[in-house]
Amino acid sequence: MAERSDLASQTDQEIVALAREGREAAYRELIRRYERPVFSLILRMVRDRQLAEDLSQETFIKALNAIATYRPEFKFSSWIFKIANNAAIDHLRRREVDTLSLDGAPNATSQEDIEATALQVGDKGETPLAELEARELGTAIERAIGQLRPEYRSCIMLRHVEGLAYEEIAQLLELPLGTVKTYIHRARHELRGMLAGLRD
Amino acid sequence: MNDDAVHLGPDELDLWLDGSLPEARTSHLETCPACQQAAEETRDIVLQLSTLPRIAPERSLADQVMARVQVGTPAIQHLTDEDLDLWIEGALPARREAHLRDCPDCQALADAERVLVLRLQQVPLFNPAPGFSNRVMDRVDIPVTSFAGAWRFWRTRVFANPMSVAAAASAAVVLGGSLAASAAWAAAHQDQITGVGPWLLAQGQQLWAQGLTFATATLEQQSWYAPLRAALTPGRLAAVAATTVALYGAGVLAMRRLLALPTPQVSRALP
Repeated sequence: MAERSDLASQTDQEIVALAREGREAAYRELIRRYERPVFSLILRMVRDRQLAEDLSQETFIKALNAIATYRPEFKFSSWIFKIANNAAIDHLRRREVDTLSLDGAPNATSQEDIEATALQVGDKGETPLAELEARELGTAIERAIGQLRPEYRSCIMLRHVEGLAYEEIAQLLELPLGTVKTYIHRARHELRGMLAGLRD
Repeated sequence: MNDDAVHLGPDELDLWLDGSLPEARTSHLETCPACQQAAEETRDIVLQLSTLPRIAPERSLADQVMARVQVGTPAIQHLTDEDLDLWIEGALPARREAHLRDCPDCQALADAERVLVLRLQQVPLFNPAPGFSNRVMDRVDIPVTSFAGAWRFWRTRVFANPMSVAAAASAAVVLGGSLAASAAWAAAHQDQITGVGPWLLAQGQQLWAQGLTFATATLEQQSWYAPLRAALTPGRLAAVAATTVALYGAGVLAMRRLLALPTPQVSRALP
């Protein structure tokens, strides 16, 4: 426990250096830091909880098994997001699933499967009315994000949910900076249009 | 063709007016009445043109021009996507800020943009199913660089599975039992162990000598041995050795060429 609290105060680069020395706690710390962002990014890309779980595991296993090849001059977050995004995009290219679903995975047939694979939004301990509104807003924005093209979706998530700079996104996605800006501007334009009827 | 026979052209007349006509052409001018007349006429025209009076317009020309130019406000430059990025980051230049203050359309756009970005920033992060970290760690190969790493390997790869534990325990029992039995037998048969070494050495030497004698005798009994031995002079032996070495070297070089990876250019050219 003491080791974990020590690690929590260290930078990603320091944690990676410890992982390279074979410290299991360092590996676990990297997972702890990035499991939610990576899982959320992939889930919003593939819209299927079980699949997102599998792709997130693949992402971490691939990244951590290749930790010796990681170049410390780049941010660890950019590196792992790149692997995660590639995993999601590769899957979407294979399956061509791009606009589903708050209502469960496309292959979910039973009510149990639908509930197991659906996105869970809302419920932040607000009043019933606020909760209802928050749920509706959350649902609407999740739906809107889900209707974006996958490349717009990953760009907008990395920019505004993960807070990456345009240059980082361009490097991460291996796209020209101008293309990234265009994707994000178009994504915001489309989202504004889709959310225009909601409360301010 | 002699330059003296050629009359002055328009460019040369310009040069003459400027006083820069070359000397050879000046001598032609001095002797050619036709060119003298042309030069005089040109000078008269230039003089007359330079003395023309300037006529002032009744109204200022500037006024007349400006009366026909539609002077309006510059085209309105609404906020661009880049401007909105800067505005969200609080880095919009003052000139564009001023436009934003005065333009209801841009204000509405900027407000919508701000609300959208806030909503995006507030979307929740999702948790993977419990045990995610353990499931990942079960498939991560951590380099074993310490006792702790080795212990982790045994703990996660061997002790985590009952079948692995049973196999490891069986192997340990067999190995331990064998080791203990060997140690007990060795302790009880010290004399035999100390005598085994010299006996094995003597047996080996005897077998080697017998084998060598048998091989030599068998070789000498072969029908082809005597002619072969007579034919193999030292010179021939050297020639055969050299040929063998050369053939071997050529074979190695040929294999290297055949097994070499194709260059990128060659790879692209392959079907």
